[in-house]
Amino acid sequence: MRSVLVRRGSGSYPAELEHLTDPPSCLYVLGDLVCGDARRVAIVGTRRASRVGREFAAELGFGLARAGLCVVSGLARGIDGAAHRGVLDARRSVPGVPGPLAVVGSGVDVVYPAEHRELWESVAATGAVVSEFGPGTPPLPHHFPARNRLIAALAEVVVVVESAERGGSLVTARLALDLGRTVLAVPGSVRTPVNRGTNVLLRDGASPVLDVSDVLGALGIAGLASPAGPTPARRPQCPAGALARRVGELLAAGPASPEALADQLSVHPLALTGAIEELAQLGLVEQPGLWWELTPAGAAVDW
Amino acid sequence: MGLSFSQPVTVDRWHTRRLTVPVIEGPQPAFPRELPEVAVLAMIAAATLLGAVGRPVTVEVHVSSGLPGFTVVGLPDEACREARDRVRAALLSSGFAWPMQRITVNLAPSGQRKGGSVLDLPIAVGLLAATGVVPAESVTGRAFLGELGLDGSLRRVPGIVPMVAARRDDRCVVPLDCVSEGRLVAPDVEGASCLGELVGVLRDGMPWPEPAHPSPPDAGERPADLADVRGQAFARLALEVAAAGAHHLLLVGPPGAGKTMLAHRLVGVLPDLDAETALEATILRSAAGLPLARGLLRRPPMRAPHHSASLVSLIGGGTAALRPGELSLAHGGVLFLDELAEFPPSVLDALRQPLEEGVVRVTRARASVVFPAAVLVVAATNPCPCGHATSPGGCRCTATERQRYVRRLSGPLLDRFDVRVVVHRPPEDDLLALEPGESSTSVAARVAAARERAHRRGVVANAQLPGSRLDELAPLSDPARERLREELRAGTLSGRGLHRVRRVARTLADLAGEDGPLALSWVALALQLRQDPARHLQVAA
Repeated sequence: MRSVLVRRGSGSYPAELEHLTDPPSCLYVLGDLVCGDARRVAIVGTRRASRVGREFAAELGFGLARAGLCVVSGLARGIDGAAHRGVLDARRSVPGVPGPLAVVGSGVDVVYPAEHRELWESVAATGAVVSEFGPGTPPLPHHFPARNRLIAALAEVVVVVESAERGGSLVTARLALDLGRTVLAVPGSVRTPVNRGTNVLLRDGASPVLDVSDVLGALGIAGLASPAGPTPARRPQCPAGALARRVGELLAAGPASPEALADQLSVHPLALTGAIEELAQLGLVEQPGLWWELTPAGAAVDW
Repeated sequence: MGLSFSQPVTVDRWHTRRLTVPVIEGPQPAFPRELPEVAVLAMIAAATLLGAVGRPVTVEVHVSSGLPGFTVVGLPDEACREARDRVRAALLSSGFAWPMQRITVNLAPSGQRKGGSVLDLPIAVGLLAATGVVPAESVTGRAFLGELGLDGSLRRVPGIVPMVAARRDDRCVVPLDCVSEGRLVAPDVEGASCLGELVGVLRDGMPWPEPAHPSPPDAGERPADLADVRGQAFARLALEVAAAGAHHLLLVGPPGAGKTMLAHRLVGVLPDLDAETALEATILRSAAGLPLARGLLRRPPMRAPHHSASLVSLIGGGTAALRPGELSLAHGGVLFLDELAEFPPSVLDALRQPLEEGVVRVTRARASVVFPAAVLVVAATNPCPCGHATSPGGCRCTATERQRYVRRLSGPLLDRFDVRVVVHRPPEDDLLALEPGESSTSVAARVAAARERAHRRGVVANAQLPGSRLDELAPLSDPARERLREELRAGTLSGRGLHRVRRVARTLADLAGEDGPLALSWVALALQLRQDPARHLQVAA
């Protein structure tokens, strides 16, 4: 696929970019920049996202795309990639939804990170990969703040899913605020570092996002489409024993290592292991890294 | 011509022509006025150190008429050749005359290279005997070991214990500082603080001086107590399991989580060394020239080499005497490798085989020695360069950085660690709120009881249970078997890992005092005590 050069002032050059003090003189586009007339929402967040964060980003991407919105993100690891995947899933299940729009910090032909090649190609095939850097430009660190300003300018609403206290997504949020865009943040545990940035945004006055409808509400299109994820009226009770339920309760507040769990519950590792085993057998917890956390099924349980 | 090489010490005279020397004015020298015959030979029993083994050496001192000179032959090394100057100065400082004759010292057997300064004293004694200062009988049946100072003092040398052991049949004379060390293997070891004192005993029949501090027996003092560790239930359990089953232990955690603190408390819960290991450990320590203030090493030693340590310093070797390395100095005890990933890969690779065999073979062109090295390895590492990958989103490293870091940890070395736990940094509040932990003494009692159970299976600890006999010695209950089958099917456990999990589960059951087939709970806990530090890599992808 060949990239197309869109000059500033041409018809397909996004008008929103004129809001910037330094709009790029041209854009390199892989795919179709038009995205219909869809309104644009950005989903940004840390590259080192937790599993919960990535799942939520995918859920948002899915729901927003189904609601007819164009989801803008940066094709990075973590939240960005998950949001794009959510949009692609939505396109697969419902034909005709707007494709994803990715703004990248390298040339549109320089796939970074390398493991996103397939995703990169899918985004280009269904939506567009956009860059202000010419083909062949490597992903240098200083390109990403520049990329972030384009994301902030292109979107009407910026949703920050997970961000560390000094993460790049907070930079995007600040740029968006400067441009008069709405910034929303997904709340998280006060204990985990990946949620600190978003929680700070919430404290500073950003509106929280609990599901897709909150984003739609910020765009003034509440009730236009029902959120994609089924919200069960009554959450299932935990079928496990007392200790296991206390473990679940702690994990609901955020992922934790067995060591931390044992200390908080003051139980012997043997008893704790038994409880974790019980929950794992029920498919409620899993160990994605060096810690334990709730599975989606576990997150749905009323501990 | 009564030269006899079969007896270790003889002073033999041949030729009977006597020379007279002019009478010297002033105080009478200790040296006899009449020089001995044209040629005199003295043979003194001594020993040198190779690795951690003493090798008997006979020092032959030949004094004859001819151009005055002093040669040392018999493959001496540099330190040994310098003995000439030390011996000469020491004799003169002690008030003895230097024979203006031709002196040849041969170190027999001449084919072996001899190193170190331990032969200073035997050379000096040989000269004293050859020149008649001390009577020949007084050195017969004795062996002499020690370095000389220019003032005639006797200085300690490394390896007294193994060298005395090699000369057990002779009554050894060593520097006074080393007497207590020597008496660990031979009760009749005597010492002197300087040449003058030694001559006083040998010639004038003075009593042997008593060493200043008769060594108090090692009181088994336990340094750091586990009671200082608050919370950290998994790390404490891992420590107990490692001690009870002699399972190598890996602690993974962010900086400041207390990994080093935990590791230093492992020695305190290990049982005392058995007699054989204690002697081996003492010999190795002596061979490395380390002080043995408390005599025989009864408590397991702990060595914590820095990650900049060279291969030779860890494994053993070197140019002159093939010194034991840190690995052997930790024999019977704990080798603590802090910041495991910072050790050069070549060093870590070299550790693998000794860990498996319990001995180090150091082979050089000149000699080959075997050092015992049955150690319990405790290693600590960060999960990634920044150290925070143990908590979700805590890590600030790039994926490449983490991959590169973990690659150093992974592979066959990681497989050697049966117990691997994540240590977390307890929240500041907890440090004050939590009760002091169980003390080392009560943990050590459980460890000792568990080792007793292992003894009944015919091994020192469960880590040595042979894989072929696991079905018989560590049978599994049906649910436990099913659980392990699941892990094998899911690919989270390898065949070798399976054996290791079973051994750790056996140790867990032993600590709880349970016999019979292993319950599911022990296997599940053993699996929980076997974290893969590379696991966090999958999260970022």
